[in-house]
Amino acid sequence: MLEELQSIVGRDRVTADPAELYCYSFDSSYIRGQADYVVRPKNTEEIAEIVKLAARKKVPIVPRGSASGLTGGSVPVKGGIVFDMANMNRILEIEIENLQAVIEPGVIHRDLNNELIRHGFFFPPDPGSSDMCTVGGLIANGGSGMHSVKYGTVKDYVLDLEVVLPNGDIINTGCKAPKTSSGYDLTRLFVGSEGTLGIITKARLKIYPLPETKSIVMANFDRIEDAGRAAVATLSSGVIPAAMEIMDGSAISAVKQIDPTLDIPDVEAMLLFEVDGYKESVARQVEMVCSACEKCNGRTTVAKNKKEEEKLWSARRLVGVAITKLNPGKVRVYEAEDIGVPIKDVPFMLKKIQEIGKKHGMPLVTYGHIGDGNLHTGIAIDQRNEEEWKKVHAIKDDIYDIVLTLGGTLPGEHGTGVIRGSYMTRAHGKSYEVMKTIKRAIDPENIMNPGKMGM
Amino acid sequence: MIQDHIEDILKCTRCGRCRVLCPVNDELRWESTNSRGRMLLARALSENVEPSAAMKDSFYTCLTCSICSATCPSGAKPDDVVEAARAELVSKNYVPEYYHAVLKSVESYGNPLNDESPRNAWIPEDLKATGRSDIIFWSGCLSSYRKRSSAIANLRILSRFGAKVLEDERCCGSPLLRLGGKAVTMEHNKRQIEKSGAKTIVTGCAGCYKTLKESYDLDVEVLHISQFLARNLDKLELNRLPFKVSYHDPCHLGRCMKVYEEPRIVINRVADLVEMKTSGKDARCCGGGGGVRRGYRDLSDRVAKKRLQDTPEGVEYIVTACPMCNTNLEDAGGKVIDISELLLISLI
Repeated sequence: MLEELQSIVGRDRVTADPAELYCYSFDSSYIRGQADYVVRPKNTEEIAEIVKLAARKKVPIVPRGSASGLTGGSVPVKGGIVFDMANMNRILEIEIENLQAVIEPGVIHRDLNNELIRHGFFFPPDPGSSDMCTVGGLIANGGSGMHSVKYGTVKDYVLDLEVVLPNGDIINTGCKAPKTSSGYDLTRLFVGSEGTLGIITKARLKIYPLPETKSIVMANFDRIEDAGRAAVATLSSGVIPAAMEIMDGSAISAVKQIDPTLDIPDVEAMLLFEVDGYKESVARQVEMVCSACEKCNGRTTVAKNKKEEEKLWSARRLVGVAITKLNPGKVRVYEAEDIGVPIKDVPFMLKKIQEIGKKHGMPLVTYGHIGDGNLHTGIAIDQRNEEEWKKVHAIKDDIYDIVLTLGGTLPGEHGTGVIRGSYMTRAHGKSYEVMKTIKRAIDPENIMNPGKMGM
Repeated sequence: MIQDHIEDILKCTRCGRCRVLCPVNDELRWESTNSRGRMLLARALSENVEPSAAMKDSFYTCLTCSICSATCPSGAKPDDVVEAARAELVSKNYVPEYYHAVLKSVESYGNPLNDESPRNAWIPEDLKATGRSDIIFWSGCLSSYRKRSSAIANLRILSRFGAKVLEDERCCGSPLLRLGGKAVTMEHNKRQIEKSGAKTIVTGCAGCYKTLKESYDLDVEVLHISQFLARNLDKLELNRLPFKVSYHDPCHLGRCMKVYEEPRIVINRVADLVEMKTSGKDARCCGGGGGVRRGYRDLSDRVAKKRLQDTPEGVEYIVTACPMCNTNLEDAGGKVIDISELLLISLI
C-alpha cells in the first residue's frame, strides 16, 4: 500500500512512520485512533487516484483540515489513510462582480477573510477557531460562529462543491448561479456530512460586502431570566444584531480572574451585542437594543471606541481558555459542550446546567450565542482521574436529556463526529434511517470516514 | 525528564493555535513538525512509545522560538516540553549526529564551533583588559569566533564604563542545553566570574543572556547589552543617523526574556525605527535557534528568508541584538547590523 501511495504522490508526501501516525491520531477531543498512512495530496486528481486505490482495497479514508474539531470527526478510529489537506490551501478566485470566491479546502479561515477584507468584502461565518481552522473543515462540519444570528451558518454560503466520491468519481454539487431549484440539494447534503460521503476538494462561496460600521453594547443583569427576556425582546423589537452573546456568572468570574482589568461587574448574566450596517442604521439599532434590555432590568453600556470594543470581545473570547487556566492540574475536556435550544429557553437551560454541575459536584462554565440558542459548556478535569471522567459523562447525559426534551440539538455548530454518534437515533428518529440509506447508497463499503455520525 | 512535564503536556487541548504560528510548520507542514505535534510526541514519549526518525526530526526541528508558549490559550509551555523531550532522547542516545559534535567541541575547545583558536583572539590591542572589574563583558562563542565586529563594538562601548573580559570564558552552555544536554562548562565559567569580582555581566548574545540569567545561579546582575545601553544612553554622546532602520526581536531575548522595550529605546535615540511586519511578542523567528541552523540548514535558511519578507520598505539596516539572528538573516540575504555596531557609528 505504501509503495502504491508513493507512486501517486511521491515519497515526500506520504508516511507510515509511527511517530507521524501518532500525531495524526487526535483532534481536540478525547477521541483517539490510529492512522495507517498519512498522505498530503496537492490536487483533486491525486485524491481521486488514492480514493480509487482505497476503494479497491476497502481501506478507510479520513479527510482532515486542521484537526481543531471537538468531536473526533477527523480521528481515524478505524485506521486507514488520513488525508492531510494542508497543501490544498489556495484561494483560487475572488469574483467581486459575482460576490463569490472559490477556494481549496485547506485555506485557513482567517486567511480567506484577510484577503477578502482587502477587497472590502468578507465571508460571514466566523468560528472561534478562525485563526487555525480550515474552510473545508468548517464546511464539512456545518460550522458557524458568533455572527450566525444575522448572517446564518456556513450552509448559507456554499454555492457549489467539488467532491471526490468514495469510488473516485469527481462531481460538482451546485452551480455558479446565485440560486437554483434544480434537483436534490446535494450541496447542502455535503455541508455538514463530516467527510462521510466524500472529500471536498473545492468550494464556491458567497461573500458579503463589509458593513460600513458596527457598534458593541454590553448589558448586565442581576437575574439570568432577565437576560433571556432581553434577548427575546431585542429580537422581537425588529433588530437583528450581527452577534448576541451571553456569559453567565461563572463565565464572568472566570474571565475576571484571568484578566482583572476587564471592566465587567459581578452579575448573574451579561449580554454582548454587535450591531452593524450603515452609520444611521447602527445608531438606531443601538438605541433599540438598549431600550429592550433596560425594559428587562438590564444596565447597558455602549463601547465608545475600538479599544473598548476589543476589551469587551476579549472577555468573551477568554472564556473558553479561562476554564483550563483557572484550574491548575485540570484541563478543559470537550463533552456536552455545544448544545442548541430555542432562544426563549436559553436562560432556563443555563440554570439547568448550573444545577446539573452542582448535582455532580463539578462546576460548569457556560457561555454562548444566545441569539441563535447555541450554548457552550466548559468542564475542566484531571484527565487521569477515572472518577472525574464518569462525572463528565453523567453530566453529558443529564444535559442532553433536557436539550432533546426542549426540541433542541446536541451539536449547534461543532458537528457529531464520534462523540455524539450514539445519540443520532434519539435525536433524529426515522430521519436518521434516511441518512443511513443515503450513506449506503453513496458509500456502500463504508470506507469514507467510518465511525462518524454513528455510521 | 519527560515525566516531570506531564501536567504541562496534558494541558495541551490540541486546539491548533500554535500550529498556525509555528514557523517550522510553515515550511515542512507535517503534523509532527509543529508545536502541537511535538506536544503529542512528548505525550507519546511519556507513554513509552519508542523513538523513531520522525520523532527525532520533530523535536530537533524546533527553533525554540517560544511563539507557541507565548500564545498557548491553555498556558502550556511547548518549548520547555521540547527541551525535556530532547533530554529524554539524549538519555536514550537517540540524537542527531551533530549533538555529539557539539558536545565534543564544547568539551575540547570550550565552543560549539569546533574552533581551536584562542578565545580572546578577537579583542583589539587597545581593549585587551582582563582581570577584576565591576563590569564583565561576556562575548559568547558566536561573537568571539564568527561575528567579531559585533563583539568588538560591544566591548568598545562597554570599555568606556570600565568593562573587562574574562580570562578564559567558555561556552555558556546554551547550545547544549537547547539540544537537551548539560552545560558542561558552567562550573568553569562560574569560577571565572567569581574570580573577576564582577557585579554586572553584560552580553550581546540573546542565547547567552537567557542561559546566564536562567540557568546559572549567579550572585551578580546579568544584563543584555541593550538593557545596559538603555540605562546609560545619557552618558554617551550620540549623533542622530540620517537613515531608517528596522529591528528584529531575537526570540530568546524577546519572547523568552521579555526584553522588548530597551532595544527600541536605544535604536530610537540614534535612528528612525520602522517596525517589521511582525514584531515584539509576535515577531517571527530568524530560523537560527534551537540548533536548527546546525542540524537543518536548509530549513533554517527558508525560515530566515521568510523573516526577511517582514522587512519594511526603505530601511538601511535590520538591527539585531543576537549574533545568531544576525548571522542567519545575513546569510539569507539581509543587510544586518548589531545594535552595538549601530550605536558605535553614531558615537561622537
